[in-house]
Amino acid sequence: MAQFHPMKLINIIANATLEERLIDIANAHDTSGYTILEARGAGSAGLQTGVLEGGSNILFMLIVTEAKLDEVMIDVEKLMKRGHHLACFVSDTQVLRREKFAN
Amino acid sequence: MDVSNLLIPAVLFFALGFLAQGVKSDLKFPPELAKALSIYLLIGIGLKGGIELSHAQLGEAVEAVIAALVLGFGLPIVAYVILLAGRLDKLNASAIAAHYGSVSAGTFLTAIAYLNAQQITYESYPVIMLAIMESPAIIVGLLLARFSRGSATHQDENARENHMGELLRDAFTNGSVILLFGGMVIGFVVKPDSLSTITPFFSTLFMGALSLFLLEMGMEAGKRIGEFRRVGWFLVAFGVLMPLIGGAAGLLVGHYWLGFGMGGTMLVAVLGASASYIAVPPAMRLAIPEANPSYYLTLSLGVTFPFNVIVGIPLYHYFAARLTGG
Repeated sequence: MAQFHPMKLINIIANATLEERLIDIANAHDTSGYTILEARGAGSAGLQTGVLEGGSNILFMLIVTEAKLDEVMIDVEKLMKRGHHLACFVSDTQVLRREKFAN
Repeated sequence: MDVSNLLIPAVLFFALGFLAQGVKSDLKFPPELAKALSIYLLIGIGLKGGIELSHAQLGEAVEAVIAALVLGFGLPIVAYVILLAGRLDKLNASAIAAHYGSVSAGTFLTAIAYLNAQQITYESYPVIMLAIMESPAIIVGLLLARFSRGSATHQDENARENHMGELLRDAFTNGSVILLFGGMVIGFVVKPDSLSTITPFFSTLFMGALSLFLLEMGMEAGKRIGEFRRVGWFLVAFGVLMPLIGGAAGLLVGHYWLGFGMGGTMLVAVLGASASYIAVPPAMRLAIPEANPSYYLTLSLGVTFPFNVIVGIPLYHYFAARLTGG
């Protein structure tokens, strides 16, 4: 039977201009990697149609150990406190091969 | 004013996009297409400007650059004062003001298509002014925001992030500026024989690509109408008033200061009247994150852009003709 390990999945929906900042955060905490998807939608920042750079969102996904979750969240929260419009939600997830995600 | 002058492909494709959105058509463009087309259009207009600059007088070009700086630095301040008078908060006012000092290449190109259709000649300098005017308003917006933050709680964090050096680098290295200036330098230095190899792509096809771009921008503008209630009627009214003020300033600068003919004067009015929706929104997203993007995107793309394309351009043409006796 496959061996699963509990981890935390961080999802951040933000404007595409924040991509580099989010990558910096992931790198600063020595996480194992991240995935970025282009996203469209609407929210507190209005309509994000994905057509122009100022109105294009990304979904930034990051899997971390529970021990690392808090320190990453503190940096994400700093962006929010500066006024950036972003949505962040965390869920429990399970992964195969723990060593792929836990540095 | 002759409304039939508006029956040109650029304007009609814009109207078609707007209409398609209005009737809830399932028409969709790949999201990357508009970004790709805007790269193509900015290089194309840069090249054209560079080629024409190679025949231009240095003194007149410098004068046009100075006039562009005056408009680029001055108009955001006017916009900011009006917005504060309407009781908008200072940070949103700073972000919106930056959009109105900067320019819209899409509006400018529509104006060129309009002039071409009527065989009206125009000076080449407004193209340089277009490239110059992308940046100053971003700087003014950031300075106004810095000045506005005052007692705001995130003042320290955001002030630290917006160092003056970084701020200038961002304003002058943004993608639109690189493409416009890069295209201009290439058009200026490359010999006409070598340029002829890329002419079919960047010149012959240009107005066709502009029509596609405007079709999509018409759809984008149409989508923003639903946001009007969110931004409020004061801001929607501002989106119509400010281009009239900027257009009037452009007419005066084009005619009295730069001594342009009817075509050139009208183009300077369009520069003064238009608001950026490509270069400035991402810059403001990073630099003034507290401002609401829904406000500035709805205003520049949903109100001012359609206003300029349908009403503004013929209006500026009419006044440019009156001023220059054309």
